[in-house]
Amino acid sequence: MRWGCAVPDQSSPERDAVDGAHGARERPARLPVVALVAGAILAFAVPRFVQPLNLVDVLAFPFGYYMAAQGILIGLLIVGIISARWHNRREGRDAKVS
Amino acid sequence: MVRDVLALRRVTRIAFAGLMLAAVLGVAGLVFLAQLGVPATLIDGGYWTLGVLLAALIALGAHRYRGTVGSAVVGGLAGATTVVSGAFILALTGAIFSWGHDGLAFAIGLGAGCLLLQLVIAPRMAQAGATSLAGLFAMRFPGRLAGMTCAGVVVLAMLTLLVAELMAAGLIGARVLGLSYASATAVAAVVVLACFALRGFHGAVWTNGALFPLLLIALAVPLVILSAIWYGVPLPQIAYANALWQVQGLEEMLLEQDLADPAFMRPMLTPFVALTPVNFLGIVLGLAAGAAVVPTVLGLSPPLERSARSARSAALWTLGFVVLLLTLFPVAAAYAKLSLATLVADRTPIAELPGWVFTYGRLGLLQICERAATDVESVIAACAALPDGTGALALHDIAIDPDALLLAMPEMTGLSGGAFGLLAVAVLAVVLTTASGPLGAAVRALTGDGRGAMQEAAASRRQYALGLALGALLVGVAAAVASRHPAGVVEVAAWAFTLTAAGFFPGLFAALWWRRVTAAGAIAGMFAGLAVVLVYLVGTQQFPVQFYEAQEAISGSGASGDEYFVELKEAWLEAAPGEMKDIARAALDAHARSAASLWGIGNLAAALLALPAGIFALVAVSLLTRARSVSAEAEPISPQRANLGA
Repeated sequence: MRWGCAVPDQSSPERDAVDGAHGARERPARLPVVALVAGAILAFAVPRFVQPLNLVDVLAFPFGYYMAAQGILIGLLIVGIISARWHNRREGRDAKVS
Repeated sequence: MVRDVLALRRVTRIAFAGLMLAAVLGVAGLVFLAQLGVPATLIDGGYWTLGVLLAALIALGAHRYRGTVGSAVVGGLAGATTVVSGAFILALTGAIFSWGHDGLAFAIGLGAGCLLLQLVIAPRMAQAGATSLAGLFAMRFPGRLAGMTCAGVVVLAMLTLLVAELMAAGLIGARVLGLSYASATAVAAVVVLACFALRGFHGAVWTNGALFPLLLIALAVPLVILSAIWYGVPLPQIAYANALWQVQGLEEMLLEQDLADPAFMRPMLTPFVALTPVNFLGIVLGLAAGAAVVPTVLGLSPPLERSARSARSAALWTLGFVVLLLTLFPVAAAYAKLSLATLVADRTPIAELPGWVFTYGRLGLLQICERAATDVESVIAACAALPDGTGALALHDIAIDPDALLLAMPEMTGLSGGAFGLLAVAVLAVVLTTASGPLGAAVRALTGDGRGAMQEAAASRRQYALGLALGALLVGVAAAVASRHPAGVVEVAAWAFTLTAAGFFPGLFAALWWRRVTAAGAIAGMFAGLAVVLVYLVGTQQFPVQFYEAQEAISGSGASGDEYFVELKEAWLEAAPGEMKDIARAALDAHARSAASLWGIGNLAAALLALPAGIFALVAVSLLTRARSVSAEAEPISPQRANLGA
């Protein structure tokens, strides 16, 4: 029995992809900072303000509770959709150029 | 090739629809038999059998279609089933019911984890061509020590998740089979192992997605019916606003009438009653980082189609389905809470309590007046024995196990047995199916088979036997721990995700996005993160008194200022050996366990300390070892390669 995670062929294309050996023909992948910040605000900052947000009613819900139960999750989904569209368009442009 | 893909899609559609139809017809048949007078125990046994059959069909399908990849939507369905997993599906409603608003932290954490998966993990994993977390680690951090550390973390985290799954399966089994919890857990362990054997180590994971539509229907239909009947709005996510206000009004009324104790109240609309804000955020962080890198989900990325776009698309569908599912749990919790508060506000006499109270009471899952509600006489006796008994049941007199709440919800709200049956069948099938994920990941880590399931379609007979033996061993260990019921299902599942986050998130993120990370740095990051979580979990669970006394030295708060702790400890020291000493020790342990924390951070929020520790260790050791290797080898780093580290 061999312990530990398997080690694939060191010269495999997978390794090249991670190491960026093919990077000369590709634009470097960019960390989606804006989407990450938006997601972090929704997941970590909004829950801190539930009490004051509860002073406002939305769809018969106290707004703070609504955000914690549904609004944050829907917001995360919207961030995901916008980010995916942006990245897909960017990759599509890159593919056309190359 | 195109014809194969189209054929697979047609098979997928037929299989998914057929599975759902079989489950619904099966439950309808059992309900019909119940109306003909077949005993309830046989009907409940039928629900269990149906759930097991569905799980077995999924396992057979996974084996039959091994090596194939579903479409992005099917991948999303499978991802959603796997991320939320049977344990959270069963326990989230109860967590929101018993913790009130603060139970929503688990849902937010899982949602945020899916977004992280979509943004930074899945597309880069696909670009790298990695089919699993272990495979990527092996690719980026070659070497025996890195491989062993990676395998160790996988086994530890996945074993914990398996414990949570077996606890959930045991609880459902106890309810529908009428067995003791320990026996039902043992039976569930055998079924999980059988499904794992049927599936094989390289079974397709996308087949798990077949259970998501069934689960959604089983959960949503009762809530839609209740929303339409109670409020005339068949959209539960909107209609339950009325239930929230009703619950708040009832709870205030019960407080005025001394039928509720504010110390036990967990209001749905008031935040940070059960948890401090720091602990709330810690749970969100732990679950988000854990869900993004949990090995069971990373195995889902399409390995044959190395496209960031397809991986991103599947992860986005996962996020969408997870959001849809997670918005239903607070509705179920609110409706269950309304039913219970109405029961108390109506001053229901003990003799007229509904049957579900005693069903769960007999299983030890519901207590009234601090005793299991096995029958009317025992409840009357228990309530009469209370020193401050008023004759009427108070809200805090009824304590239902949060893990049983989802199953109890249809009966609590007065729905027919069919709603309970469909829910039990769907959740049981999901639990048994998703339990194969952590089991498979742990076995693959132990056998060193991390290269990706679908590329190596056929394992040799000997490897299969070895893997099965290891699987049996792991299931046995997990079942032994689960049968002791170390904590609630949601807590154990959250610990598993926290272990995953602490062990893997810094290393995996760096492997994908930071070129300067070294194998030594990744190992240091894994060790540091894992050490913090393990000290926290083992300390607070196994040595709570010592941990509580030691925390003063570390965080400046602790036992000496806690008069209650001092009283309990004195009582334990002075108690005569025997039963009284054991009771005093149990009370002391329970108090220390609930109060043990460093800087106010409880063990569920341990990611708040573990992630920074892991990141710091990873960065520091990577920079140190990188500097050494660069100066020793005088190897320049090309600008293009450096670019990737942005």
